[in-house]
Amino acid sequence: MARRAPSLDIKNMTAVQLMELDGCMRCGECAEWCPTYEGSGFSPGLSPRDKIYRWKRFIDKSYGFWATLFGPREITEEEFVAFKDDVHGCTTCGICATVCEAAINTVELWEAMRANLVKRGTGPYGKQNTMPKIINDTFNSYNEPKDHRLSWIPDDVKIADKADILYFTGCTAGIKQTNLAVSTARVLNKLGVEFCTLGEDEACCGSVLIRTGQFHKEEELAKRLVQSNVKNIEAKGATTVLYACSGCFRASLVDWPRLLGEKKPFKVMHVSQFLAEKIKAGEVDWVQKPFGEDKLVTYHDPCHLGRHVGVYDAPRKVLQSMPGMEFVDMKRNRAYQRCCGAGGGVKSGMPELSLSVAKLRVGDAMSVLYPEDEPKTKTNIFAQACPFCKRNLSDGRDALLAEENPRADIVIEDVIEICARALGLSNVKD
Amino acid sequence: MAMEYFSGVAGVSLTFNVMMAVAFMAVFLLLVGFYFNIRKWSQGSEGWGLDPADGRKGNFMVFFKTYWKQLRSHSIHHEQNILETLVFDVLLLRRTARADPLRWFMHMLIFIGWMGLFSLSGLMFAVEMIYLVGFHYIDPEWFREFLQFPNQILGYVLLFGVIIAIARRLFIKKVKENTNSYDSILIVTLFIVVVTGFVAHAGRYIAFGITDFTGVDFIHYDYLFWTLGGMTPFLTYVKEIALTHSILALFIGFAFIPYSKYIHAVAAPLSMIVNKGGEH
Ligand code: SF4
Ligand code: SF4
Ligand code: SF4
Repeated sequence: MARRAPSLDIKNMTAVQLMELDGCMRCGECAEWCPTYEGSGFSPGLSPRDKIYRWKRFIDKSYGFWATLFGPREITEEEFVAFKDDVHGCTTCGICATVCEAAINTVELWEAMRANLVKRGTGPYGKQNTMPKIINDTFNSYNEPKDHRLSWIPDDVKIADKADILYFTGCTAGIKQTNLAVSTARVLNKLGVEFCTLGEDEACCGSVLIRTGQFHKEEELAKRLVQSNVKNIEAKGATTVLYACSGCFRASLVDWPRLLGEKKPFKVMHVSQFLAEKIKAGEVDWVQKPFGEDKLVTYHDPCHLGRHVGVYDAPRKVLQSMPGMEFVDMKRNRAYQRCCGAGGGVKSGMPELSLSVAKLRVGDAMSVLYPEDEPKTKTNIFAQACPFCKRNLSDGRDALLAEENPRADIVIEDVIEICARALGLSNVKD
Repeated sequence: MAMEYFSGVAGVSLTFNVMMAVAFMAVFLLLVGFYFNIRKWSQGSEGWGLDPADGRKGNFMVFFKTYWKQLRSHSIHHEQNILETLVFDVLLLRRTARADPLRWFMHMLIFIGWMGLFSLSGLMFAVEMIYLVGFHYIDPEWFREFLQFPNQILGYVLLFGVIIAIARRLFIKKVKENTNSYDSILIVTLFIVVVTGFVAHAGRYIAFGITDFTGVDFIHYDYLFWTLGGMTPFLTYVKEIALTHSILALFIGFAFIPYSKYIHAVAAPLSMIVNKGGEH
């Protein structure tokens, strides 16, 4: 009798990743921390431990000892579909990797599994499959014409044609959450930093394609995007590229070199790192309290800025240097931060799950900004450094307010927007 | 006269040849198991975002090459040196200690007990082999006696660890709910190996003629406990129990590693090393 072919073709997974699956000791520490597992009300399939075990079983059924001797065992399409749904219920926040007792690089496993499923035709999740075509056509993830990338720029902002420093705006700040781009540009102008941008030629950083396992689609689209960006950055003569979006920053620091197969010919920095250096050098003079009065401020580490690339201190230093800002950390901070729930395609694919995680995170902020036993006398500040976090945390706050939770009355702003305030600048275009 | 076998079940005259055959079979099974695991891992690709290269699937070198490449590559998180990973993360299980002190304690007991017994058995085997080939520097019989005490201590260390593991799975609700057969086979088999080891050992006291249990001492209680108060079958079948234990220890505690959850004992350290101690 002919042997059946393995149901799972090992694509996009490295030999080391296959070994990591066998390294899981099923201690469950990852499940203790996973924000989406908790946010889903502990839906078993979302537990990182469960996902590793199920995928290991898939691999063993296809290529393990018994499969090699007696032929692969079938994995049904239902099993694949269920797995696909579960592996997409993950923001790629990375805390499971941080706490993993076997030091498994889980985030890369989830992304590899997603890419594998996309290649076999089971993924991605929901409407995520429209993204490659949209980005291929428009070079941005919001299906906007290319020239809309420039519509955020206010008349007063000066952008050089070529400069040593380039500000990579990103699709979200350039098209949707333009306050972030406006603030960044005005702050740089005010500090006398000459900078340029890629203007209409800027292409999506590729993050959304990589996180959802679709980077190979549309003829290696992600790689083409990166090649285009790198070529254009070089043409601008920039040696340092600044990012205010954590997702873009992570992509350019970690993913771009891998996609290109070589080092980038420029240095990349998150704008908070750039500002922290300027503050240290005594080159920043804040002109006022950002909110006109003393405020308590806490900071949410975006996963893609903190755990993924290790930037924790710079945004805190920037906030702590401003007048009228008393800084307090949430209980879960830095490497042990709780994700906002937006990343990894969860916000677009599973908005309810995303919202329930956001509410938990806003709850973390509430408990330090308005301690239970103290009367609420003013509105305090919840800062972050990523437009996705801002959007989702704001949705979480609004949902809590709608549930008549007065302690959710919090101002949610990006560190750079707060900097603009402290320099007496407006963070809206007009 | 058949050569006496000392390793593990000293004092009981199992023939050397029987034990050698069993040991070689266990080693063979272990190697076969690892062969299949490395072959499975080698179905993967050689780098991030790649598909396995045509014609290289299952080629042993793929795994070793990919591992080496990753080990040498720059990590965005930190470049923890390999010695620090080996000492703190692999040997001292620092990552587990941070998470849950009880689980760390349990793991350490099992780890120390198992590794200790395994190493001492290996040592005994080596001494015996050296003696066998004609170098009579160390008398195996003396050496076996010398190992009795550390063996007994390590056995209790392992037993205590296994008992904690079983208790966690039985009495901590969250742990119990998340236990499946993959987990329980590991603990149950380990428990069986440890218990048969103690029974075999206790039977030896009589077989060796240690019958004077005067005074309240450890050996007395040890003997009474593991032979259920000196019940006859434990004393009559000392040899069979000893043989059973040796076979179980070889097959379950050793040959079974690549076929079960025991594989984590190899794959988890490999993962810690290649990921340079993990993210934090
Ligand atoms: S990356 Fe975050 S959301 Fe995804 S499984 Fe791990 S802990 Fe859960
Ligand atoms: S923390 Fe790591 S070893 Fe423990 S269950 Fe999760 S993935 Fe497995
Ligand atoms: S949006 Fe922010 S907190 Fe949420 S997943 Fe992305 S980086 Fe993490």
